[in-house]
Amino acid sequence: MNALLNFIRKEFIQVFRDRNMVRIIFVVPLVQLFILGYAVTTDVRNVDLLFVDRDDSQMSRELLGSFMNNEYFNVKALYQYAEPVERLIRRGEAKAAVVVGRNFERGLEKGEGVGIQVLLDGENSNTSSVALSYCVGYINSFAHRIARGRTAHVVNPVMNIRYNPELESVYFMIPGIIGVLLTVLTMLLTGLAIVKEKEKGTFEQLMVTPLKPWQIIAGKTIPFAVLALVAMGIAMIVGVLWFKVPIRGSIVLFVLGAFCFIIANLGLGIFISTIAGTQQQALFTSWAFMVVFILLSGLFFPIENMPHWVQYITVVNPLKYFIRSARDLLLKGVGLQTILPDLEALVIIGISIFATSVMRFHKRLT
Amino acid sequence: MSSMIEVKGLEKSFANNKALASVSLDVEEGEMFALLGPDGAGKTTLMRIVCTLLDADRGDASLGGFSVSGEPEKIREIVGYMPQRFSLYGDLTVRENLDFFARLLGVPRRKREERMKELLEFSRLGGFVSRRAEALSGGMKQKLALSCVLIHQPKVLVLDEPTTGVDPVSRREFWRMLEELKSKGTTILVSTPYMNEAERCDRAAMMYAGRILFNGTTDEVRSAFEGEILEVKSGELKRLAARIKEVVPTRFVQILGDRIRVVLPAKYAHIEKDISALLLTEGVGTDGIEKAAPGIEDTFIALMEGRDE
Repeated sequence: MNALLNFIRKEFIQVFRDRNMVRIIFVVPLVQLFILGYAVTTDVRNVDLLFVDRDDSQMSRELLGSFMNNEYFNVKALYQYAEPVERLIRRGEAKAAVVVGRNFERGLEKGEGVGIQVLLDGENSNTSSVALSYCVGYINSFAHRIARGRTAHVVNPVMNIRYNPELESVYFMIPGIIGVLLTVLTMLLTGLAIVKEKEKGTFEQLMVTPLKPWQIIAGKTIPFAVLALVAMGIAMIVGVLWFKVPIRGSIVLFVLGAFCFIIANLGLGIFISTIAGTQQQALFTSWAFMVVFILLSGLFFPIENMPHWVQYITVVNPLKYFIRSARDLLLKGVGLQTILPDLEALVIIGISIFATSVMRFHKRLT
Repeated sequence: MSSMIEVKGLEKSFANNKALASVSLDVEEGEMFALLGPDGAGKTTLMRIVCTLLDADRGDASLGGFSVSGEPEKIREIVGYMPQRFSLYGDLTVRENLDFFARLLGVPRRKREERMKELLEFSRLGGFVSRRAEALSGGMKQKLALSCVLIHQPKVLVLDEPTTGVDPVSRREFWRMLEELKSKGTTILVSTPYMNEAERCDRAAMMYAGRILFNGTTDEVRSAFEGEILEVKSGELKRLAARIKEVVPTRFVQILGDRIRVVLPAKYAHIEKDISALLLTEGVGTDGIEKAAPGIEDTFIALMEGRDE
């Protein structure tokens, strides 16, 4: 036990002596948080929308009215047909267009079905799909009002977006940032720290001491697990105080999930150390793992949109489970029941990666 | 005297490369034993097996009476191993390195300070305790590495080329430390590519291509030389050396300070007459040529020549 404590103590001295290490652990997460929190916004606001009103009737103006006065759209109404709307969109004058046909009001009064054309610039699929859902939402609520007897009374359109009503992407991003942060601090740094000892030859020196392999593994993983939890705490505090991220679920469950996730990553770190001979190799290997994990985690792109065979790959991605459960916990405030499958997956992945890696590590040692 | 290190019929291959081919060796308690040979001779492999860092394919080795395969953890308690490369933590200070290894090797708390003080004095690193190991000179690094290895007072020291790449002054200082340790009863197995360093040891083994070519006391090694050694004194060393190289393979001719040293292994001994004749025409009389006593390196060269046939 003393030997282990001594080893952990040494590891901490080394981490804090290395300025770059301190920056990676405490500054980089905050920078990521602010950049992703502010810059990488998937929110859809101020979308330029053309409202082409060919009917120019009371009804069509009513529809126009429901698109006005919100922060999602900058509406520009057109009454004359000058050139095809498509061309305007292609020229970038608008990202979306709603076209109301000439017989709109009459059609409604007769009870015939009327079509409303919605055109979208699909260049950015994210923006356009969100904008589309807004348009459909407004049109639907308009239709509801009509159905209720054409009362033009103020029935505010109700956009039914749950859990993240403002569609604040920072809320959505923070669990992801924390996941990436934990991955860097555990997988990358553990891998690097072990490979560094191999590279510098100190590993050989350690092996001639009575230190047991499990003590070396524990000594190399515990410090980074602790640092990762501390950094996570900092990121959470900033997230809550600055970005007002809600914590609707149990914080204990959140930490538990993080812990399971950390174990999987520490295992990967050890695994990387058994295949990499130099710190550079370890860095590139971890980087390769991380890019795949992040892209296939649902952090930026929904997993449901991926091809089926890719979705199968994500089954073994620990980051996916962590992000999903963290989002559920923070934003929806769900209980253990809901995130249990995710936690189970994390535990299974974590234990199997950790066990395989430790076995590989052992084999390398003896 | 009993054996401290016993090696019997060790064999080890890496891929298709035979690093050790049936090596046997005995190091007595309290002696300083040198492993000589060029890079790739198998010295490091042998040492790593003895220190339990590597398993042999065949054969057995023991250290302090403990078998490397049976009780490796017992061996680790009594051996101090210094790998060829500097292998301490460069980002830790001299004191932190010593302290780390002291705790790791189970030096009791009350003895730790005392031991560190002794070693700092012994290695003359006392003035550098707060300096990071990576900022030390090559010689100081090796002294620190030795100190870390010594912190738990091991009975046996295994040192892999500890003075390679170290300046001559530090090298001498390092050997002074080893001699002091030996005088206190520590058994030392040390490898070196510098033959002259082996002269300080009690016994030496010469390794080449995974085999031991010769093994004995340093006197025995020297007297195992068969052939002739000539030393020629002259004012025109370079020109003369070039002339001698016309009749003798270049590798046997060496300029040493004020003379030329020509080592003639047994099968080349007959060339001696030719050299004398040649030198006579160059105006060097018989009084300018002396026969010299062989050193360890000469034996090594001669043994290598014998092998090549």
